[in-house]
Amino acid sequence: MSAITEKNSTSTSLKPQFRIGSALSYLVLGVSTFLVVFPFWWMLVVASNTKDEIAKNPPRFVIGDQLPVTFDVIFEYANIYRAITISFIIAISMAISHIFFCTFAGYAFAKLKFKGQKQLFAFILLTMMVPGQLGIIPMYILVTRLGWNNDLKAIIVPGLVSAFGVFWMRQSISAVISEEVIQAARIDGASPWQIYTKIVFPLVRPTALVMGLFSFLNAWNDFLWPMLILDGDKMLTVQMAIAQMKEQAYIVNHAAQMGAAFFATLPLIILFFLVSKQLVKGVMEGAIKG
Amino acid sequence: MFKSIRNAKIVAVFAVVGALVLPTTPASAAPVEITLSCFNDLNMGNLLKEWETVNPNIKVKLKTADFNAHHDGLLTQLIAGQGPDIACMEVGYTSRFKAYPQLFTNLGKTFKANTLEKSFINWRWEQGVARDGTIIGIPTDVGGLAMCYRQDLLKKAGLPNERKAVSDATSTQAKLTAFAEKYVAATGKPFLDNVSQLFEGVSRQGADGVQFYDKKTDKIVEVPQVKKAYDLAATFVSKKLSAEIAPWSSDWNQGMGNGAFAAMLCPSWLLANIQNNAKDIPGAWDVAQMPGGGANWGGSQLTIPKFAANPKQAWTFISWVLAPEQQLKLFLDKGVLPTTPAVYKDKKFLAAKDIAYNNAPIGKIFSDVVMSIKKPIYEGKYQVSVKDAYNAAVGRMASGKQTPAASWAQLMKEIKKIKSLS
Amino acid sequence: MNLKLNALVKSKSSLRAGEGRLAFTAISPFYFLYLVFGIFPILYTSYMAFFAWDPLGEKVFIGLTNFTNLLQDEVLWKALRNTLSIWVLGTVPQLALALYLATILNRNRLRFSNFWRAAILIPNVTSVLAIAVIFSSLYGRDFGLINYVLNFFGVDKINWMEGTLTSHIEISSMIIWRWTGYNALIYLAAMQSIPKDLYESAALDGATGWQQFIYVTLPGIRNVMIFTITMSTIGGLQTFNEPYILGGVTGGNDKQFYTLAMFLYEEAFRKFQFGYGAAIGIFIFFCVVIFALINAFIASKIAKD
Repeated sequence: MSAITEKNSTSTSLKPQFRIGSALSYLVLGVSTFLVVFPFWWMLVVASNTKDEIAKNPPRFVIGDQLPVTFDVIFEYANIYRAITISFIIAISMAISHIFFCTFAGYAFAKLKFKGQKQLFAFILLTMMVPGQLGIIPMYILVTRLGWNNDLKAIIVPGLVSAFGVFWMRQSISAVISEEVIQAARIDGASPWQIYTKIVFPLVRPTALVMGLFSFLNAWNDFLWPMLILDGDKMLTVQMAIAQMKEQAYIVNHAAQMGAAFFATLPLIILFFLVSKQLVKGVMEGAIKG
Repeated sequence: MFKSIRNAKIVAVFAVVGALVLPTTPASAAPVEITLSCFNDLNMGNLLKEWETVNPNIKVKLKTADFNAHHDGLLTQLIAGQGPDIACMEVGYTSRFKAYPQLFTNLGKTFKANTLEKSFINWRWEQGVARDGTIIGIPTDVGGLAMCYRQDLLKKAGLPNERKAVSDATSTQAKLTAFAEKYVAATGKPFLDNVSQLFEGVSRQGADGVQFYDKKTDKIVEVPQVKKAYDLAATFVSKKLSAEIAPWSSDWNQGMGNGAFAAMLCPSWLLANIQNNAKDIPGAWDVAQMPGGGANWGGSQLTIPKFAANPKQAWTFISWVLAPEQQLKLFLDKGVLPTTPAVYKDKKFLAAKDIAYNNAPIGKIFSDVVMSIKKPIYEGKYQVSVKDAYNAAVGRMASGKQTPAASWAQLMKEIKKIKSLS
Repeated sequence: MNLKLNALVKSKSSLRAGEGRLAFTAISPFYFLYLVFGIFPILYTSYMAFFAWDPLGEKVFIGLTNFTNLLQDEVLWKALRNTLSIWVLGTVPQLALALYLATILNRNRLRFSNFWRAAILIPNVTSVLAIAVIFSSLYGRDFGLINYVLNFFGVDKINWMEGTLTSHIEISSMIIWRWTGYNALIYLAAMQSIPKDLYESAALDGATGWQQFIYVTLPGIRNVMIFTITMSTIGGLQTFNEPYILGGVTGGNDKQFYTLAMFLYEEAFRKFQFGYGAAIGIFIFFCVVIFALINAFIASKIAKD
């Protein structure tokens, strides 16, 4: 391909442009990464230095030696391992459930025809526009009547489906899957279920995976609801654990909070590296097929 | 062992009450777990460990959350007919929950808590009693408000820096202002950290114990003391006597160590934080009396919501942990000021000197502050919202956004709105 | 051939039925759960709006009073202005930046692409509580890093959270920091579904990088763009976490960064006025609907060009 473009008359201006563009790209990525990583680095610095070192102006920017001390404080105040495990269970359940349910429902809204389709979808959209805070009270009453106090069910079951996910998958599927592909499959005698599993899902899998990833993230970051439901001792999420890092009455132990936040984020970053490889694989397959 | 007959009586009362409610189950019963929900651990870390040996049958699970989230979460739970076994609530919030005594276990009726009333400071006790007399909470600690100051900076500015001298030189609002002006003139730097705490403290010094709510009518009122406090704050701002650094900000923490301000109002539980931020300058901070006498910042009550699963066990723990002996331990360990005056006479308490604060006898200083508060401030249902509005008015005026008069006018409009709420 | 035609004709009616059944299976579990956990709370909330509802006490039916009071409440309009301002400052640069990052990440020969992709998502993964502490300290008036740097350019110390615009900037910067990577990945996933040959033929026609972007990339991700803009609108009009954690529950001493969602929260949870809070919730809902419709209208207009 590059051989062909080189022969074009416009190619002389293309090549240097590409190089500058490339340099600019790396610069932007570099700056973005710095902005992104710096607070993360700062967390580690706060977690590993004593309070007064940080209070200086300008404060220390280097990693100190207080990490083991911070570790002790963290574990004294909250069982971080347990919190990470529980958050993980919640988040993975939601992610898998969303990948399953939302893609399926999104497909139905995008490609299948049935009565009231437009209205039902509009209804889902409308419900997303209602602010969540007030809904917390009736939800809490409902959940406690079901006896799900301090039970992960209270967090996972309401989160098994997501209007956000359905909306996203519907948009993706209608963009990526063309009518011809489906027609061809129908002519070949495929049942609607087979069309979904063998043709649609594989094509839209990269997006579905990303949506699953985001469902995972939303569940991981959710602070208010789990705090109401769980007792914070044997049952707690990562966000609750971080909030529990206290030093004295009314005063927060920043080192412990930062340390907990840092170590709570680390497994996720490792997870991303693993998942992004999958994403690349899925995308390559999609590109070849499409 | 018993310092006085009075002490013995108090301990006896606790013992009898405790015995009455201790579960009389066979020794092999499984431990009961009770939840204690709070916005921090109330410094009870070591006490909780000790409790495990004192009463292994009752396990206490501590659940903490962010300050606002804790109280709002409690509200949500109560609405749904749920609740932890023990819920702590900070004094600023008790007024709100006290308006609904039916949601809490009546500690007086159920556990004869009224017999404990005499062991606690009266106005701290009142904060846990609803308008209809229901006792819903027992006080934990008390803030007590004194004035922490940089004795080294005062010395450099040619001002008296010894505890008694400073207290005398700042004992009235006018004297305080003059003192601060001298400091600023000598050093060109601000004297106080911010005026918000000054306003809050001084507004509570009214002789009749009224701040925002009238006790007889349970209605929001405006009293001269509050306006005086506001005007004092305005004076400080206009004469640039305050650094106007927001409390709890990183600037504030750093300011404690780098001389951005020479004085700040400090409750006993803030002392350790100040020290942490001023590690490089040990002994630079000292403690004097706050202008105008006593005031309070902070403290909580322990309550047992009506929907608690294990109220009896909850009460057993509460009566133990808030007993004078434990409160003394908490003070010696963490500097938390007890609400049981019997402790104030204890030798160890009186002897406690804080090396970091130039050997200030903090026990005596803060207990003097606390005992000098005679009239409990009555707090009504919308105490929090009214306080927020006043603090916002002080803030607007302090940051220069509005003139003191304009800010006050806007405040009155907002108060009118709150008054119209049922 | 004939057999195939027959098969086609025969299957059309059963096709409809088959599709209908599948659609039913696809949607019903979703709908059932949604009915219980999504819709019931909303209905209950709407019901509350017609009452003077003290959550711990009694409720009194007052019809539309909450709504009339609300529309005359100057705090509501202030909160609306704040919310819109923060939304514009936070969303517009964010989506543009996300789009740009996605195009960079979409390049074939980008080195360490896995690393970059994971990196931009880090902000969204870190605890909001922890990040707020960092941002607060960065924007500190006397000792914050940002004022320190600005000082070199002769700018006086700014008290960021005190001012209206400055507090909005601080809050928006935290929102941008947190959500750009998120949206960038959504765009990236969409871009990667665009067939590569479209780019090839465009290049053959002599299109520059920029032209390829306008004429191939953008149309290709149009649906997803509508999606992100709609979601940003819905989310933006409900902004709560960032201002709450950065500045406290009262939204500033002059309510300079008080958003609609904070207004709802304070009325319902701190002033015990559930009915009024519910009315605010319904107001927010209408705002979102209006904005979403405007978005959809503009989007379809652009598509026609």
